[in-house]
Amino acid sequence: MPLPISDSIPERSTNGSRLPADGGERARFKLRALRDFTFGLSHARDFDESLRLALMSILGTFSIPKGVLFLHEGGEFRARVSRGLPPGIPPLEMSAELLAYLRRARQPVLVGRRDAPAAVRRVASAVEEAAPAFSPEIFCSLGTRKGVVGILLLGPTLTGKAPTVRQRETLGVMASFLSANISNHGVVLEISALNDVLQVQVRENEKLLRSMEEIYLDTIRALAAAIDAKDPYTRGHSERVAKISVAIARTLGLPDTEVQAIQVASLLHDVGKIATDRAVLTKATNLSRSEERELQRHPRTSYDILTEIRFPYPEVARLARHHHERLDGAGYPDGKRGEEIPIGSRIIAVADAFDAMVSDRPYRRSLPLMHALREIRGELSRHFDSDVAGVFFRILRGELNGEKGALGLFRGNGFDACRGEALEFLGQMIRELR
Amino acid sequence: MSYLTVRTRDAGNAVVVYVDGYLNSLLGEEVERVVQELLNTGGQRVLLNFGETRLINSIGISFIIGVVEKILERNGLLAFCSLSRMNRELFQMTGVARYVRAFDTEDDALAYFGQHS
Repeated sequence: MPLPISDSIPERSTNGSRLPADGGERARFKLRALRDFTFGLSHARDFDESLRLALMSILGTFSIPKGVLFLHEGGEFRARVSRGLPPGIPPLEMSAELLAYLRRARQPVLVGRRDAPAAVRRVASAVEEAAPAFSPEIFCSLGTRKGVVGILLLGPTLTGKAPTVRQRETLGVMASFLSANISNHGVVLEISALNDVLQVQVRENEKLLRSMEEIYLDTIRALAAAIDAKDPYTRGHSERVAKISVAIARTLGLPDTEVQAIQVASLLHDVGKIATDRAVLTKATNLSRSEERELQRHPRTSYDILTEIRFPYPEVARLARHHHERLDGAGYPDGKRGEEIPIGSRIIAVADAFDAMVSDRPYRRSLPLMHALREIRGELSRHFDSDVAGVFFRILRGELNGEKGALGLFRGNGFDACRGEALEFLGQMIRELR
Repeated sequence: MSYLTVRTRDAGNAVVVYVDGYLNSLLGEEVERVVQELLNTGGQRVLLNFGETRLINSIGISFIIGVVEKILERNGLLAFCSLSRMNRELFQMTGVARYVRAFDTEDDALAYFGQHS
């Protein structure tokens, strides 16, 4: 307690009768204090801040310099916030007697009164022993119907006058608000602990889902490899078309599910060739009219097969069906034009044509890279979508330059021989298509 | 760090701390910090000027009590000045006025510090 400076005591304040007789100002202050107190509880940034503001508000309301708030945590009472006390107040020992008292106590008690319960006095002397500068005078049990949540210990008032019955009642109201706040925080903690458990489960499910997706794609790849195996000249074709198609789809910024649909559709776009006569597929000379018709049936057969499968992605069967359509409507099987052809099919068309040209076929050796590029350029807007081709050219340039993030899509294709010429061509095409 | 800054002025006999605004937890914390810094650097004579203080809430009172305790513990000298009628009554009601002398103007208060030098 500070000692009054004798010559600095203003005369008027020593005379209590100068205060408003009806205590109107006092009542207003008390109401404002209650408002500040509840505002502090509800508007604090976090739980500790709300406790600190509540303690400060209580201390200010009753002109008490020192106080400490203990919370019931982990089987003991731990000092959570304090004012005017050195740090490191040890936890209070829990006893059956103390708990029994806290459960029935509803109003603050004065520690020094002769009728103060023994449990209360023991707490006060334990705290005073730990912090000799603090002598607790008011003991406030904090609890709700659900149980005990803490203890509020307050020191003497600034003037040394014990709080009146009225003031203790007000303190009791504040204590019950504070108790409700602490109890609610406990519920919030329980919810957030449950939330943590849930998040772990969600992450595990996601992991499981990812591994299932991988198994699923492996199955699709195996199926694609089986298709390619029927025609020795197209070994690995589906896998390469899928890689190029996915790269184009990603660069175009298509949504993930659409990219995945394109991946599966490009792996399986030729599944219909299962029904095509092997002799037609491997024929080294020009096809007859009827043989050509048979070969051209494969996208429709792909569709018929794939439409029976419930893929987790939309449109897979339709994307495979239209991979031989042309922008000018001269493609097959439906003669669709321009934007009638799904974007995924337009992507697969470019990737499929390019890979077919630069691979060995039964009827010819692989075409040089420059030949394939000029072929695509010659068919822009007739066969191929210019936007898709533009993106493909950019990807190809990145691959030839070995840029960061390059996928190694064309490694070992023998493209290096004409690398310089190809880069010049691609640069010009990219500028023109921009 | 608070975004509030508390204005201070070294008036020779005392350092004047201007408690401008709404004396709540934000401003209270900053006033307490400024006073603590003054004490840490050897200062012992503080004048709190409440001329531009709009309102003082219960948390603000708590901080003022803290400042009073800190200065008196070090046998320092503390005074208030330029209090509104409402804030003067508030300090009387809360008992703070018993420990701190209040003056109508900053000049009156500084003259008082001059007498105690």
